[in-house]
Amino acid sequence: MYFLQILLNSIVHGTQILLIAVPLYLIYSVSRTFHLAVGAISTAVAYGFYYAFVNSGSVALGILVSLIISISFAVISHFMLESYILKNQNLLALLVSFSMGTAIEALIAMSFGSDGKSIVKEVLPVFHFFGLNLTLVGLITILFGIMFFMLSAFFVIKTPFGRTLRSLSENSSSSESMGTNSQYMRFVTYLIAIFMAGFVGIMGGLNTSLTPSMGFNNVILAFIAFLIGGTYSITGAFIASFLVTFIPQLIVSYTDFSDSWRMAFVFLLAGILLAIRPNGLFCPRIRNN
Amino acid sequence: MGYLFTTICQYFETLIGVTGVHLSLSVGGIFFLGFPVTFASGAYVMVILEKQGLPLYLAVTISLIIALLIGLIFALAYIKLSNDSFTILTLASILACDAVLKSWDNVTGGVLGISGVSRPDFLSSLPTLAIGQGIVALIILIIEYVLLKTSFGRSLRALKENKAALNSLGSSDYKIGFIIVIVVSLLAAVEGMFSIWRVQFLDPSFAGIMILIKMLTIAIIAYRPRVSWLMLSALFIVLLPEALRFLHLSSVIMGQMRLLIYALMVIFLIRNLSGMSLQTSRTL
Repeated sequence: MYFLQILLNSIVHGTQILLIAVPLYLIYSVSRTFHLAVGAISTAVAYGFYYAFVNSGSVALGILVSLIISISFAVISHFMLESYILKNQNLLALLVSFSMGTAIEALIAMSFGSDGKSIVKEVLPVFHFFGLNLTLVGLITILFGIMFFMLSAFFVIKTPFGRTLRSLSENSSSSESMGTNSQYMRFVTYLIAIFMAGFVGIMGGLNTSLTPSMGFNNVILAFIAFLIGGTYSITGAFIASFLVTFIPQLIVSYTDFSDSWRMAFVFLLAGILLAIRPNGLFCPRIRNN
Repeated sequence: MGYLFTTICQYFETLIGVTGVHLSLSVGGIFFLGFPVTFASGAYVMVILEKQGLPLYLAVTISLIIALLIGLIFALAYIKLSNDSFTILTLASILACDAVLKSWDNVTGGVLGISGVSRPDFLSSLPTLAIGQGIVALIILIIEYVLLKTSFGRSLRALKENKAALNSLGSSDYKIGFIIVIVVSLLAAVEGMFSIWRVQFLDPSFAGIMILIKMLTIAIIAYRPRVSWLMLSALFIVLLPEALRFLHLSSVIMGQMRLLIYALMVIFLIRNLSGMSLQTSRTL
């Protein structure tokens, strides 16, 4: 039973990581860039929701403020990264997004303080079944997470939008020569990705509490999952998201190591897996030239 | 006078560490972000060994060997992984290092850290420490100056500007990157040791995102392969937070403000790093 509870907790956490990894995958597909600020943006959206909800008591207003912040950050991301993406300076774009994330976190800490903020003061309902415990937020995270993932996978694999997205990922020049508006595609992708990340931020805040740096830890975990899964594979991101949460959780649960060791085990796991498969577990084998 | 010497020490130790970052990022275009790990390991290993009763020279040597080993692991990752993955993994290593420092409390002191770190006898006061750091910084800067004039330095520049041309001329970009990653790791460890002698208190917040973003900002401002640029930009960045003291903000706000300023500087100055400005100024 203890093992099943660990598994359930890992599924909730893994879904949160998945919901950051999928936006990263989408952005990487259209821009070849790792958008490191996604974590901080998800935190900013969650703080926006917190501010509106606590001051007005209205969930609708909270969602509206979150949407406005999400759209604003999609525009800012597009404005900040586009010039580097157009010049294929992906590593510079990565550094810009990292700095953007750091700036957002610093602004949040200056505005709200570094201590944890709880969106709801009451104890949230907990479901008990077969001896297992699952919070309402955990349940919503799993349900919406799986739904968002399936929708994303469906769009990427089955729809014309997804085909265009993949064509941009595989050969952006050819795709543009066939009439694809890559800038528009990138903007729409930022928007979708940031909505998903914002949802994770709010759920994370409801599940525990909001801290300015919570997004950075999540985004690094999601990046590790994304790299382990293989940057070309959305299925890989799915499996690896649960892998990077489940294995370290298993180690800290069955050994004397405390929970704070978890990130060290994630890094160790990533190091071992990437040493064996540098392009990720689910990346098709690439011929060396 | 204490404040003045503290600032001078801060400048010299920053120069020691940032020389490596300058070589890797500004000159070579290698996005290695894991140097805060060896910065922390350099300080922690030395202090822990000294507390165990080992003589200073032995503690420093073992600390450097461990930094070298960590650097070797990073260098192997550089060879094995793509540039993007290498950058992300080195960034993740900072969080992993932080987790180890906070969790391994019977060795590192956990979140409470280690207090009462003593300076070596020959660097016992701030002025002597500043002189010692100044000498080391000067030696390192001279080495960098000479290195940039050698064929290795030219190869390093070519690594950023035209990797294909570098390989076609018989130099291995992997080999150059491998060496530079180790050099950055070692210099960061030396900086960590000097920093701890100044601060005399060690906790997990000693190394982290703040060190990373500060070094990146200096390296980005000093984007040209010139030692003088590096010295000036390090001076500017070390003195910048001192100007914030006049605003009479709380220490928490000031820390975040510093982070915000560094991050904004990286965002707006980073286009210098592309190398395009250097290429267009040359007659092709």
